[in-house]
Amino acid sequence: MPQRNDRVQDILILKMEGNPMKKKIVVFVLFSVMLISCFTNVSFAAEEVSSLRIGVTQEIDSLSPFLSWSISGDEIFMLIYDSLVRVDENLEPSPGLAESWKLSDDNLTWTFVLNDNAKWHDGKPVTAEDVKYSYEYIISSGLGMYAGGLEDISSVEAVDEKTVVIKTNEPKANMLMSNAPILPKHILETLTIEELETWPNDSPVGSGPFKFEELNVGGFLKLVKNEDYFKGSPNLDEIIFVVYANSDVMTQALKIGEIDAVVNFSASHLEELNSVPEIEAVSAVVQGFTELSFNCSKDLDSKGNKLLLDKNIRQAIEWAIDKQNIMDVVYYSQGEVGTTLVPPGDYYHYEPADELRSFNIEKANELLEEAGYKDIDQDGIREDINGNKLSFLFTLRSETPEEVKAGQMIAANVEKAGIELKIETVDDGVLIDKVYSQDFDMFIWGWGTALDPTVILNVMSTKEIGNLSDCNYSNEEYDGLLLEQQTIMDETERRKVVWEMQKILYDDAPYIILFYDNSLQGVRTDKWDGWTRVPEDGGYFFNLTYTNYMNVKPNIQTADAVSDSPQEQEKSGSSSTALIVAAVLLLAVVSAVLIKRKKNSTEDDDE
Amino acid sequence: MNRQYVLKKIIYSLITIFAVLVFNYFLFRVMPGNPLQILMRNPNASAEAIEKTKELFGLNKPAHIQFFIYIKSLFQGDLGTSFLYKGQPVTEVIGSRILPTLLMIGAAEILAIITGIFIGVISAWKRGTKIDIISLSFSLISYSMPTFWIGIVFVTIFCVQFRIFPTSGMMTPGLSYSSFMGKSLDVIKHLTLPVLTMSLVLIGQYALVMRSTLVDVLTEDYITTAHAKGFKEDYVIKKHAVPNAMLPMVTLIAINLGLVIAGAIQIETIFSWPGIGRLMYDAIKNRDYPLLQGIFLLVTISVIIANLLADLTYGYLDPRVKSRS
Amino acid sequence: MKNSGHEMAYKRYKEFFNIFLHNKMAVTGAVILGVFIAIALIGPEVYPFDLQSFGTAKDVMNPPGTNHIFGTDDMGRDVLGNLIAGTRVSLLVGGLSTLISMIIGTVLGIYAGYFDNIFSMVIMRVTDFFLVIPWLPLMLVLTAILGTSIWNIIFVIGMTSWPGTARIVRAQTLSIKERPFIERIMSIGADTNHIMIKHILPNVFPLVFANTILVSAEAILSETTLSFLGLGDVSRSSWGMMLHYAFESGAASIGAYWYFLPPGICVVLLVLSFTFLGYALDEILNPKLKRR
Repeated sequence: MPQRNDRVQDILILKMEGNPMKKKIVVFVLFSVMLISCFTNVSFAAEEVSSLRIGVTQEIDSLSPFLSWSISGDEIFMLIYDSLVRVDENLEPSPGLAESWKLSDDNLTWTFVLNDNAKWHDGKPVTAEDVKYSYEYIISSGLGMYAGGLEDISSVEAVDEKTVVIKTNEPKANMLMSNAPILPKHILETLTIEELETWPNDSPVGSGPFKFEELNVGGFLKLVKNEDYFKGSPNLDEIIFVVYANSDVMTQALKIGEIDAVVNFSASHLEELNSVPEIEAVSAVVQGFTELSFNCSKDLDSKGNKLLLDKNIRQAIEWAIDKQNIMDVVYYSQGEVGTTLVPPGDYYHYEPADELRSFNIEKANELLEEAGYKDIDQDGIREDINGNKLSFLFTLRSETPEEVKAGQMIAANVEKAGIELKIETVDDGVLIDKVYSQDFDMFIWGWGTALDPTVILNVMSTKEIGNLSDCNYSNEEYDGLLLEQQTIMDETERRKVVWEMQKILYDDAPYIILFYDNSLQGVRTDKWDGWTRVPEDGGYFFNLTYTNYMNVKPNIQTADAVSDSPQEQEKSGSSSTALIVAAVLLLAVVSAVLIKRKKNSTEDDDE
Repeated sequence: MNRQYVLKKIIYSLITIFAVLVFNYFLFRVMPGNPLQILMRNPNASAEAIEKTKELFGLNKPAHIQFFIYIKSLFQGDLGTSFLYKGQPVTEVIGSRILPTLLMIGAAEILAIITGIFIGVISAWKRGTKIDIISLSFSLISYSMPTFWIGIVFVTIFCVQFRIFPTSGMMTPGLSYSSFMGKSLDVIKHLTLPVLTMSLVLIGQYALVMRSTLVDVLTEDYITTAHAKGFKEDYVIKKHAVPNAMLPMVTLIAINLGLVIAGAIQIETIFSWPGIGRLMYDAIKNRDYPLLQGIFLLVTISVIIANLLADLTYGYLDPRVKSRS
Repeated sequence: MKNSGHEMAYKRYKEFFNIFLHNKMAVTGAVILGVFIAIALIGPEVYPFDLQSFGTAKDVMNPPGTNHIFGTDDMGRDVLGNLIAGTRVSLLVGGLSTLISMIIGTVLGIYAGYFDNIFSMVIMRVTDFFLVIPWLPLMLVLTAILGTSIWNIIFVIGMTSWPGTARIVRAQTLSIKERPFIERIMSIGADTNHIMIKHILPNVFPLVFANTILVSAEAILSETTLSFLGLGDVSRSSWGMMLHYAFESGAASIGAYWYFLPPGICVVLLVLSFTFLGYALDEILNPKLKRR
């Protein structure tokens, strides 16, 4: 009930200018204008432009490769810019801006030869100076998500117009895995160092297969094809990334044809989308995982529960979790049960053998009993010999409902082993704060991994405590192995070391890898042809390659048959809108007329 | 309306605005979650890079100094730089999103006022009859519904089942229109559901207020006198009661701004409408202090000014000041 | 004493109850509210529900059937059970936060209305200040700071709704202060506290009561909205949380109406009952509104 304003009570008589009737006439006229405009021919875009509309839920945070930290950013830079080396469908290094490269015998000098035909979107040719300038800035400023991959580089020289020589201190195993974009020197050098730090890059100029056209903040990002791309023009004319606040709404948009593809829709829709013949929905294996992280800090200042420093408890918790069931209920079985840090499908993944901990409540209880944790007071929760209860704070991220649900199910699981988990849900920001102030016991989060295993292995290193490490794990032997594997150029040899590292981690269990959850993507096959999954069990987008962006073609045959193209839909949609508006108008007009008549008659009576 | 009254009201408003500035500033500093961590959010940031970022966003100075810097830049029209939209000035970010919200709220208010008045008038006119009871119930029910729930139901019915309206956004992305009319039509199509959802909640309020103040006025003595003199009821309504009841509507709109903003946040989330409601929610999630402060400030000051205007309008029209017969 | 404020008040109460029982809206509202209160009190005892009763994959999002009258939710739990359990949270939050709001608002309102000193001014400025700040953003921020437990939510809602009550109480106190019998008592030199408690309070109370009912309605809507936006208490069943999960898991577009309709309808009904009561009370207390 609206608060009746006490002032209102006192109003008695008021002189009012104007006639309530006048107002009705104005409204009437307005509506008529709208009605008429509905029926006039509304012309849309002149030519038929093939426009691939992709629905995403994550908005791009910045157009500058030095400032952006988002996955969307990464994908878009891959389209606008080129990196020296790209990745092919088998996720092997393939020519990007560099058409060939050589490594010296001592493994310390790399020579990249640039493609002759590479040009910037403004027409100027791409030279080695551009590479030198871009790399040097990224390395010296340390800004952005590409800086990490360019560590240990001692110099970058432009030997001639098309040749770049990069020298490293130690052999750098991940040199070809860097996808740092190359930016035009002639634009970068017009800005001072301070300006570059906040440079929004509103009109990106790159050398890539797509040119930037428009960014509508909160709405969409539009790219158009670069016909002069040195590897050949893309098949389609434009790409539009449409941002949705809600993945559910986005999925509906795909169903009704408003957009042509979606990335990361909710697993609950998988069946529904697959039942639509025009849609191909896949559960893509992506490189990443969801983990349960423990506070392993041995620091006296740490506010984490010290009981968690006993790896028996951590391992017991893993035994107690029914990962497959949670995967089935929360993720609709889209993904695999988690084991070690580097996801399966990656060359460097280690598959646990005898040491594998699968779902086994008895084992969990056994382990805890033997480690000396018994339930002395019979309240269902175990205690240690000093009577401290195995009761921990379990922090979940409110933004990711799947993690919250998984967390609840984990708590229910673990209860059966005599461990109590108290759940709290917080915002990302709060969690990050807690992690950095070492004020947590355990939480759930996820990581996306990269081509180079160093990236994810690095998280567990001692030097990353206070920075990237969110479990405060520290193991000297592990740290040593981390440095070692970075310098081994031979893949098989390198893998042996990486396997050793994962074994150590699995035994120490600072993380329990819960799931390798898939990314769900869907595309409309009625409008577009030529979809390829990269790799075979992967997805269409956000797979490190630009395969689909380059190759898919509009499906001309069905364009006439199916009246669901955006343009067609606009027309049919707007005619129904027009109908509704007309109906409302009619109603308004009729009632206005009726009321006027009635008032007129009574007025006449009074006169 | 005398000078003293106006002056007093304006001074109070200014005091409140200042209090809001202080409150605004410190509130967001108190929020847990270090924005620096979110900014760096991830790997291999060297100590220098961290220092640089701190300086960039002014996070390395003590709190009270940051506050004075904030006030100073406020008067220069600078609201700071957004964390979330790296490097973009807050004024720009808000500027690019405010029009859609205004458009939606404006259209919803207009629709709600017209419909609310209509229902309120009919209700009051025919009070006690079935029509009254039905419209009363409708108003009360629509007032009791959570805004977001109405939105979800609408999406299900109109977007999924009947495919009449698009599910989200303000315009069909990427289509270029050759005529202004075409563009407007597209916007209207996307605008319809959000506006309907928003106005449904407001209609209930306006109808109720209209009805009650109208009934109030209708039972005043002078109206009874008019009746006695032989004027028909609907004439009385048209010429006297409705104009008198319009004033509370004006004040109600000002008072309602809080409700409207709350509604905007929910509706913009459900319909992916690119306005400041959704922007605010994203800003909170990401601890984007400058952006949050900017929006909060904008919204609060708007409400203060709206209330001030309502107060002044009331003062102007207050019969205790102007005597009428 | 012949015309003590006390006796006046008592007479009005009796009248009030008579009119109340004859007002259809009031009765409807009271009945609906009564039903919900009953459900909240004994519901979960009669029809127990465990928030941790997760099912397996085949139990997820099942339509209404023999085992589950309202079907299951996105984690395989019984919707009806969740619904019944949620009644408690809605009423608890609505009731307690309103209590906080009413007490603080009334005390401060009477003080500010009766006395005309610095403190009054401060109270009114603070009231204006809070009334001006948009409630949802403020609540979002406060909940983010304090955490999402149910007690924090109650606190936040209570703290942001007392200014409305205070303002109305102050206005009413001001008008009561002008009445002849109060002036007489004041001139006799009666104790201030005595006046405020024994005379002003009883006369302010009906208005406060009506206002409180409406504050409760808003409080329940607030809790639902906060939960929907993801700031609810995860460890308890609540209608808002059910709607949150329903939306997140796409129940609306899958067509799982049994998941998102019932909680929404419950919210509407409960709020409606308060609204009816409030509106009816308003009508009763303001004689001019009586219908022809």
